Amino acid sequence: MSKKTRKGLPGQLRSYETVVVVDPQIGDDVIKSIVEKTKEVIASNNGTVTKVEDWGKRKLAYIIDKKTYGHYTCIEFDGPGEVVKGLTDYYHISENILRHITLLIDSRLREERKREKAPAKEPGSQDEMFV
Amino acid sequence: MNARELKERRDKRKDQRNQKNAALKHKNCPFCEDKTFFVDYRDTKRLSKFTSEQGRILTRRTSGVCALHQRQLVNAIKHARHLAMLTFVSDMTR
Repeated sequence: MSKKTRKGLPGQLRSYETVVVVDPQIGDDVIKSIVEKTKEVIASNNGTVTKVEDWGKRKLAYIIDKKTYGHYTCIEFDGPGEVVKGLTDYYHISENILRHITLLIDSRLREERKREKAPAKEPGSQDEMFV
Repeated sequence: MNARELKERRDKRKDQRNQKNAALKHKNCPFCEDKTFFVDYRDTKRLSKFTSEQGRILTRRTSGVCALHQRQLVNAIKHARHLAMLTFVSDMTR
C-alpha cells in the first residue's frame, strides 16, 4: 500500500486553483506572458487547465513593494501534486509577481460556487410571494 | 389551594424561565441559516463582516458562528489577507 500524503496518492489527479497577483505597471503583454508560462508549467507536469479567470486590476488592501494596485488572474487545473511544487518554483524565480497562492478546491466549495450563481436566475418566484 | 394546583403553577413558571434562557443563549449562525456548504475566500464583502474595525477576526461568542463554519472562515480570511484582498490591520490603527 502506498502512503497517502498531503500531495495525495502518487499519480492521483486532484483539482487545484492558483491565484497570481502581478504588478499592472509592467503592461498587459508581460502579464499575458506570465499567465501563459504558468499554463506551460502546469502542462509540463501532466496537469490540464480547466478554467482561466481574469479578475482584472484591483486595489490592494495594503501596500506591497510600494505598489497600490495589482492584476489578479485565477487558473483552475487538475493534476498530480508535483504541479504545485513546479508552480511555486516558477513563481519564486519570476519577477513582478507580488503574491501567489495555490489551493486545493474542496468539493463542497465547488458546490457552493455553483449555488451562488444559481439563485440570480430565479427572482420571479419571490415576486409571486409579495403579490 | 391544592397540592396539585401548586405543582402545576410551579411547573409553568419553570417552563417560562427555561424558554427565556433558551432565547438568550440561542444565537443563529449566519452561514447555517444561509445553508452554505463551504466558506469562500473570494467574497471579501461577506468575510469583512466577521472582522472587527481593527481588522481582527471576531470570536464565535460575538459573531455566533458555529464551530464548523468558524474553522472554514478563519482559513478563508487568512487566504484573503495573503492575497491583499483583506487587511491585516486597518488604516485607522496603522
